[in-house]
Amino acid sequence: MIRLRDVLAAFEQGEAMSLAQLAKNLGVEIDVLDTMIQFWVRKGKIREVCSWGAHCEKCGSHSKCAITTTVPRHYELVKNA
Amino acid sequence: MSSIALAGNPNAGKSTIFNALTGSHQHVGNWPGKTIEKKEGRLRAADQRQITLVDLPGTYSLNAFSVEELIARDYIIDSKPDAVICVLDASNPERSLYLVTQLFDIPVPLVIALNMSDVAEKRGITIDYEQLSTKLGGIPVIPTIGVWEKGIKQLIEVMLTTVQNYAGSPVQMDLGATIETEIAQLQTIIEQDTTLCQYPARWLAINLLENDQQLHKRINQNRVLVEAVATSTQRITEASGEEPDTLIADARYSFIMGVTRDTLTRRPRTTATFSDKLDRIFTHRLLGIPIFLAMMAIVFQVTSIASVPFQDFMDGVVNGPIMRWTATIVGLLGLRDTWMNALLVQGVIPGVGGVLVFVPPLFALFLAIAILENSGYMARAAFVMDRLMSHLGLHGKSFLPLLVGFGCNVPAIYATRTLENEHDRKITGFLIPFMSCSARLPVYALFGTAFFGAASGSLMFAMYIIGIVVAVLTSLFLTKVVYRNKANPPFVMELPPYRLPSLKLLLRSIRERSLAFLHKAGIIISTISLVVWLLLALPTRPGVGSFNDVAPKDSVFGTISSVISPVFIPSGFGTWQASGALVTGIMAKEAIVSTMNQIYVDEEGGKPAAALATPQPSFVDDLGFIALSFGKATVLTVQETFNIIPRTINLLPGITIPEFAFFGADTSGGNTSTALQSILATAFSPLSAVSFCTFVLLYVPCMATVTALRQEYDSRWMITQVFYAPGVAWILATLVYQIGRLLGLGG
Repeated sequence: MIRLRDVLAAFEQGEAMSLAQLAKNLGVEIDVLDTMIQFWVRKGKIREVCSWGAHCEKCGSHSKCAITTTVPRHYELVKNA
Repeated sequence: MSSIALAGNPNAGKSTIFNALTGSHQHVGNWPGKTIEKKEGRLRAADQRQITLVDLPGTYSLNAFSVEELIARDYIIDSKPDAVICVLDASNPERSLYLVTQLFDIPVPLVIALNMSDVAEKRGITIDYEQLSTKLGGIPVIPTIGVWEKGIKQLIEVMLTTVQNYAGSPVQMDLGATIETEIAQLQTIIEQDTTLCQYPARWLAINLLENDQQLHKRINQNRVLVEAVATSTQRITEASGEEPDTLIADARYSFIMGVTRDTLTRRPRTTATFSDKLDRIFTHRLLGIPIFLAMMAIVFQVTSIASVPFQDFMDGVVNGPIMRWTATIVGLLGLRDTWMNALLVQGVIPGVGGVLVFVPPLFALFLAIAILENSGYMARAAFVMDRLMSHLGLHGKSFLPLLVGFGCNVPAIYATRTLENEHDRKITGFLIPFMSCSARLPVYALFGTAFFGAASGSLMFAMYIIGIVVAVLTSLFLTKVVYRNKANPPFVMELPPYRLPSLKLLLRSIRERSLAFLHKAGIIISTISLVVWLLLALPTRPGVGSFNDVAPKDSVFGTISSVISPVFIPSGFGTWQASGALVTGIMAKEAIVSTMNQIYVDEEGGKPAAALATPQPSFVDDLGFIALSFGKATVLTVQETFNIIPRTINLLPGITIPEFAFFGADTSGGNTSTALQSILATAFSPLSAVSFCTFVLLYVPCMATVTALRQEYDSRWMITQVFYAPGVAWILATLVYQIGRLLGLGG
């Protein structure tokens, strides 16, 4: 049975990962994985990144950009969190 | 029983269930002190009792991380409804059940409406509702389909029975020995504090261990409890190596996974989805790029042809009613014979208006690109282009900044930050100015319609392709010669499923981009128009005229432009008017059109003066003109959109398919020229028009792009681009013109 700490450990390799990728690696359903990731996002250990890179978040249209809203969400470990 | 709370996840159909339960007996307000909507309704039970139903904000949990969660939680704890109906999304059961595990800790009769059970079935999810109820300690689980009001009657009946037979919370979830020991101790302290009697003791203990800040403030006065919580937290952390909230969340997830493992089955995916099937075509090794080019060709056909009727409409309105109303207002203010009149009527309106005429094709372009983005196709384009990018020595991620550059080069430059490799960043940034941004579109549309009519889309398409070819060749040079040893990391990307574009997202995307363009037109273009007008109004030397009464050629603007113009003789547009327009285009590319409107139309004693001299229609006549023109433009736009198909097929030799003509509307494609286009048709030749457009495509980026280049890279890279681009532009424009002449295509 996967635990929250296992989810966090999966990000410790340093690369941003999509939900689908991580769900496949951990052998868990995407939906429950999403809530587990949101737990760590709230604790500031993981953050969502635009799959095209962190800079997209600085764009004023990021939340409305059709490209970023259609590409699957990616997450990465927050360093020094 | 008097009240029931309707809790549940966002997007689980809670509002639909609420509407089904209450019908028209609803009242909408706001939660006290909040801007979030509160809906209350009345439902009538079988025994005719009236029960108040309160729709709580949708939440995934009852932790105090958001206003919605706080409202939902506080209502259940403080207002103590007689029951809670929890609406969950049956197609996402694992995510949905977290809220239920938190409701276990609150002693309130609970019924679960597992909604959207039809969606769950389509996704291959089978739920054993009885077994699920058993695993949840006997809490009733009712499958519902809110949009069809299926299961609603049963939901009410079961809810009434549950309340009647309620004997306390049926489930106490085991959070683990470490946590349970501390909860028990905290519970004892809580129960001794009469000021906390409104809170269920176990629930409060758990939330304090989860570090709920709202509740910590609430218990501040009870020092014993505050210290006990701190001590418990420390003991748990030391014993388990984890903070209490992590352990508690883990226990909930374990419970949920155990429950779903025993009650839910998912049909394995053995067949290819619709997206997979489409991807076999759109990302085909050989067909992928041609399909992408075909998509772009269609985009430009729609942009150039379908928008022409509305271009004519805008031109008619700007140079007709708007011009007349402005002149009237100026006259009423007693400024008719002053420079203010000239500034507005010959400067700002032709300048800004000349650009606003191109809002329709821009709107069409933004719409087409938004459709491709929203549908998920653009992600495929990036995937397909990755192969090409790698042949050019670039990373697949370079495609996005280059693609963004077709909208505007400025954000495209900033988007290169997504590239990890510094050389990839600089090379991609160097290529971006060759991506024909939307600001250049008015120039292509202007010349395209003036010289090529219905084939103007081909001119636009050709310009975009030329820009791409120049970028490709430049990239090859930079990656094979300048940055020979650059590393190329692999590009891994996940493709989203295809979907029908959301109208809401489309409109939002178009609105943002159009507003950005209008903002630019309103400020930058009007400023440039003002400066150009001023320079056109100033005579170069005494004797050739006075302020605002000088031939354009003898003005400061004309004189400066004349100094530069011989450079462009080999390129076919060595006139002061063309070079003057190109100079203003350095500030903003749209200014080329606005400047040409000011120079050519005013020089010819064109429409502004003529329109004002003729008998003036009344204000009502003008309004009627606007309404009728708009209607005609709408009909013609629909007609021309449909006519793209037969017109394209008719390009094949020997084939003639009739084109549509709705209501006997003009079948010329609405291809009436504006005043500027008519004048340009005499000032340029078709060949020099193409070479001019080629120059505009490639020459120095606008000031905003130059600034972005300087900010993102360094001055040297920016200066290199600023000198390289006009050099390439001049060479290519000259080649186009001279080779065209040699081939007898005009001169």
